[in-house]
Amino acid sequence: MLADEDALAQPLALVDAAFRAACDDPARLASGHGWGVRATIEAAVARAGGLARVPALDATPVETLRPGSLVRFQGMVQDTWDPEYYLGVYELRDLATGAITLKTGKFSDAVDAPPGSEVLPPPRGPPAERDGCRGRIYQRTPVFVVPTPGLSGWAAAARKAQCAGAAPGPAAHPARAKRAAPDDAGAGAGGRGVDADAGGMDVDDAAHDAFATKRTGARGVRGAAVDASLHPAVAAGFRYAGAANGNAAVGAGATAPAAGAAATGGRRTAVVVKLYDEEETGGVPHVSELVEFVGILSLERDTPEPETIAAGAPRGGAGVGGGDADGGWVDNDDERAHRPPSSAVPRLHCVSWARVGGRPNPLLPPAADAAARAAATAAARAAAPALRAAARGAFAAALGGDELAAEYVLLWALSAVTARVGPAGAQTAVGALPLSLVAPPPRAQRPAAPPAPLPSPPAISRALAALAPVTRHLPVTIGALNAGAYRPVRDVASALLSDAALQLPAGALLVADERTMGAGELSTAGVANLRALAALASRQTLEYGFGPYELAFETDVPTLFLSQGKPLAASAATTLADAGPGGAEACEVPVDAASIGGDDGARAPDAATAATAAAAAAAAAAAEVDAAMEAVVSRAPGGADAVRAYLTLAAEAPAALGEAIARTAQDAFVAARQADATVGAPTLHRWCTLARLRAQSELAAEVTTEHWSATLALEAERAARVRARASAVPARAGGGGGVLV
Amino acid sequence: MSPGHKSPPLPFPALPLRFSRPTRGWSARATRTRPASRAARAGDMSGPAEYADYKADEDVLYDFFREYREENDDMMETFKYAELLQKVKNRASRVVEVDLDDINDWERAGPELCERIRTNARRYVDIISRAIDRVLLALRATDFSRHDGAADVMRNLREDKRDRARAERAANGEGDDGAAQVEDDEFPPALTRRYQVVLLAREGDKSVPLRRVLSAHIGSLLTVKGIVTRVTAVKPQLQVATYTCDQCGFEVYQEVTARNFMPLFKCPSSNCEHNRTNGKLRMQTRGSVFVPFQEVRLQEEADQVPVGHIPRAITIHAYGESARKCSAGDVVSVTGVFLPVPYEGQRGLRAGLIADTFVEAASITQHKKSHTDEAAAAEMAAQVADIAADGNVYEKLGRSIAPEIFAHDDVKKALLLLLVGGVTNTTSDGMRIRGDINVCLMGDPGVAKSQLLKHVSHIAPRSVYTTGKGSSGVGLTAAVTRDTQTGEAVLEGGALVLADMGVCCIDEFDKMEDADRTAIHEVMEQQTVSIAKAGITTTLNARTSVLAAANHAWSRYNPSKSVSENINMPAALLSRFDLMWLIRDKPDLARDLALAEHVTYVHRHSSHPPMDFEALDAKTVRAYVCAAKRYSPAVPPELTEHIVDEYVALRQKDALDPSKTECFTSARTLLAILRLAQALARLRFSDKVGEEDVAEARRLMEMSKESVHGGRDEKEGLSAQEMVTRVAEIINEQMIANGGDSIAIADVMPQLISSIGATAADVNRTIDEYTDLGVWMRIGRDSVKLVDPAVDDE
Repeated sequence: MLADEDALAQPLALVDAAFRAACDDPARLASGHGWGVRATIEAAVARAGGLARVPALDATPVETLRPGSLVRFQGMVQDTWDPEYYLGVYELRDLATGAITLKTGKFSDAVDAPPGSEVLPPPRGPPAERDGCRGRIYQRTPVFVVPTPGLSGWAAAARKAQCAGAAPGPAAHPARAKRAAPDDAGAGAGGRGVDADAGGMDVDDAAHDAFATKRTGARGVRGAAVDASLHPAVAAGFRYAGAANGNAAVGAGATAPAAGAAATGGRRTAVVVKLYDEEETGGVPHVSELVEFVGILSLERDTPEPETIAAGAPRGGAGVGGGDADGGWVDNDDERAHRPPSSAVPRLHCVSWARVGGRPNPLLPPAADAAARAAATAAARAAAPALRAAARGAFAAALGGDELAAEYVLLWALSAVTARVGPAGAQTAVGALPLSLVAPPPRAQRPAAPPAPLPSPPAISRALAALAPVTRHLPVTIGALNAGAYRPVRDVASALLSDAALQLPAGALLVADERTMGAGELSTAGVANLRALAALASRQTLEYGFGPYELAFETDVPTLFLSQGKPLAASAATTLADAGPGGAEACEVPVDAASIGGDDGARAPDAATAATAAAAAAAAAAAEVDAAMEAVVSRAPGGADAVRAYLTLAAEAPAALGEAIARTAQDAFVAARQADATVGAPTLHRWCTLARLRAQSELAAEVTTEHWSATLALEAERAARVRARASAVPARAGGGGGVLV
Repeated sequence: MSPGHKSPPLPFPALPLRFSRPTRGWSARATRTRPASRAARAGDMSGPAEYADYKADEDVLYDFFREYREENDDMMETFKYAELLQKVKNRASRVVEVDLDDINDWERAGPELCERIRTNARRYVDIISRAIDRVLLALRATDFSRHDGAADVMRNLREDKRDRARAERAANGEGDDGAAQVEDDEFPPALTRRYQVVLLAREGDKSVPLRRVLSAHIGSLLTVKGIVTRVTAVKPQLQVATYTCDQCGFEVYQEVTARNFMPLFKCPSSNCEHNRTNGKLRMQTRGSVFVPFQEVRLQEEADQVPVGHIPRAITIHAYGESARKCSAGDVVSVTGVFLPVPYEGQRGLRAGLIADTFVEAASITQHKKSHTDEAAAAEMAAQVADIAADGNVYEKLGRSIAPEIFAHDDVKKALLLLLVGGVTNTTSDGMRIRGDINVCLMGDPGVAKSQLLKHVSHIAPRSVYTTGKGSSGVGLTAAVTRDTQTGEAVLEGGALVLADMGVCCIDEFDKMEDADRTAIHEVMEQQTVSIAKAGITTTLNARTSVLAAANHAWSRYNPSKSVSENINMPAALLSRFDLMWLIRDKPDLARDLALAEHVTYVHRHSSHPPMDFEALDAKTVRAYVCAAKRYSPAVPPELTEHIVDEYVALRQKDALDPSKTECFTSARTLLAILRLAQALARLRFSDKVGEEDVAEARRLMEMSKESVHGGRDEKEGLSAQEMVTRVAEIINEQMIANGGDSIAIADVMPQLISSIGATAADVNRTIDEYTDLGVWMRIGRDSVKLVDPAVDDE
């Protein structure tokens, strides 16, 4: 038996032992299951001091990890590929002696053939056909996992700190380390290299930009050399994922601006996880779930560059190479897509996996540990009023002191889908609270005037990123809608799911920024994107395109719209009739233009200088706002981390609506409807949702009369604002939106 | 690789044979499939070591093909396969379909052989072919009408040449070792075969869900079902490569069974060997055999994908007759052999241990409709019978349409009748009178019109949901488009054509394109779409029920304006709807409270409140509707007279009342009532329209008119208590009129429906209430009797 430390470094030895034991049992060998690998390795991990001793690939530079060692990886499942059929058992013949040994291909990518031996051809057909060949074909399921998209800088840093306990083994790969260096330089030289520059506030924007335009230049996370060998779809997904950590690392706490990049060693890679023995490990995780995988890291060991193979690498007898084996028959594209070089996308042969569950906050004990979470909730409840005030204060600071809007944003940030009711295809997501902050439309401007730079992301997005673990700021413009890909679509040729801006894990906060929406024409793709955004906000479903049909996947991504004038995406659910019934209309909160960093339409004659000056002023103002936010949050008991933990805990504990309150609500509704016929079922749904969130924000288990009356007061104040706005702003056809085609 | 290649520069990669499937050189004896040491080790293998006796199986199959008999439809015994093979011999057929059920049933073959074939299909196709070859050899062609093709001429020449060579050898005295020689100069079977063996899976073998295709299936015959996402162009695949020696003219054949093969270079003929001429072989495409080959990508169907998962896909290889059987978007079942191909050469190195897998298709069948529905229908039969026996179908099914949506019971009933439909009649002169019922829902925004439409399209066995604006350029009817590739004019059906024999749900009916607006007149009465564009003149069937939803031209319904003004549609179009419904959103204390209770319940319990009735699920309703559609109720003559009288009376009344221009009773109204009545009779599984059907149809018609003209403010007629009182009054009147103290409910029902719009539920409630009061008593299920007060007193 290996020492447990060694087991972590060389788990393949345990696999081998399990295989040798299974060799005696034809049934186990035939099926490839039941070898007990998972139990053995889990026991070894437990003896070595638990999972904390296992290095995390998502928080450690991959160069420092040893291939073949046990690692963890936490990320979002982006795609599940078709099963791979591989040589589970193969025969190795010693060329000198002719002796044949059995080997297993489980948990590895390559044959383990020492020089002077050859691998016998795999079996074909059923047992009767095999002429005594003992090789077996097994299957495994590859899953494409990307680092949590939209992970905030502070969350990445916390994760890094959490995983620091595991000392990665010495880099057994001098060649890799050597290769890594120029990559870094390359990324740096690339100017806006995605990981090199997480400092600016506009990183997220830049990331989105990269995604929206699908720039295929040499901007890959790992440099041009690797990018060229990747299928464009994989490269995009992976570039995008790499960029995801660029979410502004701003605001409160000790998080330095560049913390996001620094925390992860400047590099976040996507991983192909191969799942074995699905019965033992609990099936296949769903897409867009956050999962922590534990498995054996596989990096390319001695793969020569393709040229060297062609030149005649000595490999077995009959002279491999010589000419293009594919002969134009087999779809090369497919292979390139599904088997990216492991130097670019490491592979993880999964031993076990677990859903992260709940909202992924590294500051809190894992969701699986219910007792610890409950204790954390109890602790937060004691300080709930102060923490609530701090969070609300931070949002208010970001919104230019608008307390009403801050209250709504706070409640929105806690919202989650609590149930789905209704028939399939027209379900209502109960608990969803799409929110829309609407500034008055910009004053008429001369058509020639260039759009003034708006602070991007706006202060509210920065505030959310500073307090919530997973956020995404999505600029919505005519150009972005037409060029972008909001929903995942499976590419027919490569069978890969495209990466999409809206594919986010449950609990991510999405800010759809429509402030710069201009006039223009939406293409078919643009309409599809808009519809996807509308469906996500109102119904909490995201339709994935799979060639001949589409499948709606359930999501839980609270969506906040920022707009000047009538919000386009927020109303798209009703405008585009196909979005269908069952959706909730966005709750509209009129705000001042300044609150969301909107522009007031004033233009200096000299646009260029004005823009520069405005940009400088905006930067200064942004810094001021950030300082204000930080000040508010740091005054809270426990500091920023306590506020962050509070937001997560409050979002996870839905409050119950008691019978008495329900009756109060019913009476209030009937009375309101008598007064105003436009009050309908959606209104009551919103009231109930708001009241429950209100209670949640105080970490109360049940809605009380105070919560209910506070909610109604809040709604009354909002309604008054809506009325005031309606009378102040003459209705304008089309608002600030584009033209639908 | 075009067949016209002159001197082929060997377009095939030189590949090791190690990883490719066995490539048998015929004359050449070029390769052995496995190292000789393999066979020696055969003894030490683990697992099922049983070798099937292939030779014996071949003999059994030989007999099977000659002797298998089955009864045809005329109760005559026929030699199924012998006749089939005669056709092949006569060149009238190119496919031999071998039904595994037949092998299973044949006493001399039995289930074991059948199972061996199923799990080792590829090998057995070869064995079956050999057995068939032997049968064919013994057969004589009985029909010579088909002339020789190029392949036959070539074959004859080759045979001549071989025979001459044999004769020569015999003359030279080499005939002694003839046995080996004969083996040597036989042609590979694939060169001469004129047929393809297609294995048909057994009837009972269910198709394997794509998700459940595992490594354990490798090598066996299986059936998978899915939707085609991608097909490649059909390419020729080399089956037998023919080479000619440039020195001695010797022809060498090489059978290719894999994608890649190692071409031959050196002439193996005895001639070249003797003369040491080192003849070089050149491949000649004309003499080689190619089969069409197509790669197809099959994806799991949407309803098969578990929640949260990505659909699986599988590659299909279609050779010969199974190529060109499907195109992208088709739903097909593929029966074939699941096989692995390890990556080869350089790819193999990069891919490590991974093997590609594919299904080699034996047969591909297209499905018109989703399989699940077909299967479900059979399962549901019993449940449908239960519902029918239970009675009160109309109410129950009506409420089961969109049970989440509040009230609107009559609207839902109308939608149920739309789903069931009336009977389409064709007169002797070929004119069709449509049986499909068209319904239009109008109303204030946010009154669940779209929900109702979606529900109906969900329940209907065949339906299309679209919006008046139409997301595609085709619009609602049809359009002629030009194929960008060929420039040909292509007819493309719009939503109404696609929904032929089904329901077409059109949301935003008022926002229809002008072109559609003119065309839809024809669709809604004649149920056809006529096209005269780009040289195409044709008529497409559009036998659909139209369910439309329209918004008002103004934000709210304006009762002072006419319907066509309100929804901005011409009256001529509106008259084609059998029922028009105006759904309004008016505050109403009781209903609002119920609504509020509903919403708060959802928030408290995360589910819809339990309903006060048991709603049937969509599947059941669909099954019932399908069952009901099988009946074609007719109107009995005595009822016809009654209806005609009423119609005439109504016309008279309308003529006298000039204020009622909107609800003018026309022939269309009469037809609508008949259609609705037929649908009601269908729901009862009856072949005869009853009086109560007509009465209910008239009630619905009245209710719909009421809703549009808003004559009465109270919802759907009388309040519950008023209704009970009125029902009791009428029943009492009837009892007195009949001069007895008891009455059958069925006798009084028509009057109840026509005069006050009472439903069966109302009547039941009334009877219950009066029974509780001790006034009436029930007799059996469907009669009431007045309780004699005198008896009570005693």
